[in-house]
Amino acid sequence: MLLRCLPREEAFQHVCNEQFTINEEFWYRERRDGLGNRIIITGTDTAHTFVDYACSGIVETTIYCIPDSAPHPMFSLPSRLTQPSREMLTLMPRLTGSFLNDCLALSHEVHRYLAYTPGVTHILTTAQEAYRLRQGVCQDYSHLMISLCRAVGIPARYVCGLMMGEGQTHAWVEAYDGQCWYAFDPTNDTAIASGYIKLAHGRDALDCPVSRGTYIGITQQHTFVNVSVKEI
Amino acid sequence: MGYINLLDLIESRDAVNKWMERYGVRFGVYKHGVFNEQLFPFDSVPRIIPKSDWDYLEAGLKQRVKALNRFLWDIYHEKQIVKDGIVPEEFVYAGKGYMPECEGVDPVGKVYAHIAGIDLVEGKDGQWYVLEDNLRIPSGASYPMVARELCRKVSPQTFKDNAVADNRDYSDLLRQMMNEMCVDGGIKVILTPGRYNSAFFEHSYLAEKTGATLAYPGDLVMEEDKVYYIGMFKEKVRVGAIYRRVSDEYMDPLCFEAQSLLGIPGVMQAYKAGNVALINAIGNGVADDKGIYYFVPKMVEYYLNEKPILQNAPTYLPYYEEDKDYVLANIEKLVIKDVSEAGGYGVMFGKDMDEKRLAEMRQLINDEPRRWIAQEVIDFKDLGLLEGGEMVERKADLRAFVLTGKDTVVWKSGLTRFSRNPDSFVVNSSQGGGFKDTWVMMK
Repeated sequence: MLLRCLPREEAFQHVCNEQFTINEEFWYRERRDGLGNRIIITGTDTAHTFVDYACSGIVETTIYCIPDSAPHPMFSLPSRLTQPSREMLTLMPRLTGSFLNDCLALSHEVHRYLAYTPGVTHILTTAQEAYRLRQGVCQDYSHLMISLCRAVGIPARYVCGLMMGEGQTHAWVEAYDGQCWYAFDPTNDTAIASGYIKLAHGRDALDCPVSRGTYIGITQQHTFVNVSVKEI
Repeated sequence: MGYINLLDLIESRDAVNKWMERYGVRFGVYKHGVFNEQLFPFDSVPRIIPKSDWDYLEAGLKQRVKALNRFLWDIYHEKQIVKDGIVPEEFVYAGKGYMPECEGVDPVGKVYAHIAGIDLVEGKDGQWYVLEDNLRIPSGASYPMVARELCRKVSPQTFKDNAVADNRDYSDLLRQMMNEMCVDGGIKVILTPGRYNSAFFEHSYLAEKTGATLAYPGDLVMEEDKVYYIGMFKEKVRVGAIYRRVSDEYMDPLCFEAQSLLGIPGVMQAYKAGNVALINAIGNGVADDKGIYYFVPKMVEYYLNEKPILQNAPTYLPYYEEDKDYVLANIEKLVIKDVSEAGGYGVMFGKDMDEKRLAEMRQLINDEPRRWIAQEVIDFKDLGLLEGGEMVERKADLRAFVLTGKDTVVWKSGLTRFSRNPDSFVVNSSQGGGFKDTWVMMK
């Protein structure tokens, strides 16, 4: 099993006091994936009926801004789930050349266009499909905004992370202004200043699933996720 | 090169084909979702490469594969060739072959393309051209190995009389390379997707010939950054090198296609930790893409500071305005290839298209210039072969196999494939062609 449930170390967030637990028969190692995300690799060859893992801790955050002198070119190019279509580009708002205003305008356009509807899209839904459906969840909002950003030459990447409160993981967008990555949340139509905990980033959602695993056996599989974030 | 008497061999063609049938020398083809195994028709008239031609090819192939290995290292590390503007980033980072998971990974000996299959053709003027580099899992070496073995049996005199380089050393070259790559004295395995793979015969044959263990999906597990082979009594045997015949995207369901049952969950972690060699490395698709092909001669100059010995077929990238104009104006005489397709699919000849199709093609090129390359049609040399007791001429290519371990060597043989259709330039076995033995002359 591969887990991306640990927060990245970033300029704006520092992880202190972190605990990870998993079924005792599982071995595990902490590693990094090709994008620098923290991952846990774990497994067992003993029979089991469930895997229960938990990660808890304290993250110190400041203003969301990640300096980067040389962003990877892959964040400027279309990826599997963010390939733009001609119709999609008709969403493009009038851009002014001011980075912050343009990103907010793109976020606003995506937010206005899509209706938040859980259950109509899935983990492999592309930006083009979400565009046609006019519905989706945070992943689809982010993909659509990333497509548009890259189409106008703004490097953009997908972020998986946590928001304040109870519930599930969240997804948002980081866009690059030439010096730093700034974060935008098209689902909530806002620029992100603080209060978000970043787990992983990638070209699109395919690069940062929270968990992936395989098992041998014939059974029905169910996954339950619970996230709780509080300010202290 | 003296007079070569092939009569004996020609007469033995049917015998060789019969033996191959008995030995199960086959390849599988999926057509409309149905799996069929076919015999690979063998023509006993060999392709003969004179020593002088071979010396030229050998030097050129080594040079080309060295440059490609340097390119792969660079792309997954410093990316200097992109920064220096020699290769545009679109051709590297937007393709399916690029794997971010391989960023910063140091494969054993910095080798990525351990086994390269370079497809060449010989023009009517005697000039050789590279048509394609295959750096992922090139297949086909087993067929000339078997054919030679059988030819030597049915006509030993032919090989006494002629100074043909022995090609039965491929398994030694392969074994030596695998030994050089092997980590911590582990065992060497050949990982096959299983008997419904088109090249299953080859996987089992090469395992037998090299003494490697033939592993099926499920035989290998990753535990705590190491890979183990599960033996007959459930014992775990450490694996040091995996010659894998499973494509990148199916190799690790934790990193790539999540639904894959063909790979080894977590193998990327063992590979990244340097605890197992993957032959070939993951992520090589970034260097054998039809678009990247255009840049290979430039890589030779860039990394090795040498003049490229081998030539590409004259190629145009519609990505560059100047090339696009040329392609749109001359499409009738060019061959157009879809960058994302392989195995002879997505290859279209301008001369076969009607006006309507040409207009569509021009539109497609205008819409997605990055997706296409165009090449001059090379009038390549026909090779003689027997058809119904008569000698006829057919188009043929040559896949040369270049192995890289500590050193880079070229196998003194190769797979010569020919088209059975007199009007066709497409020789891929998946398109119904046959093959010949390839003789490299020693004198």
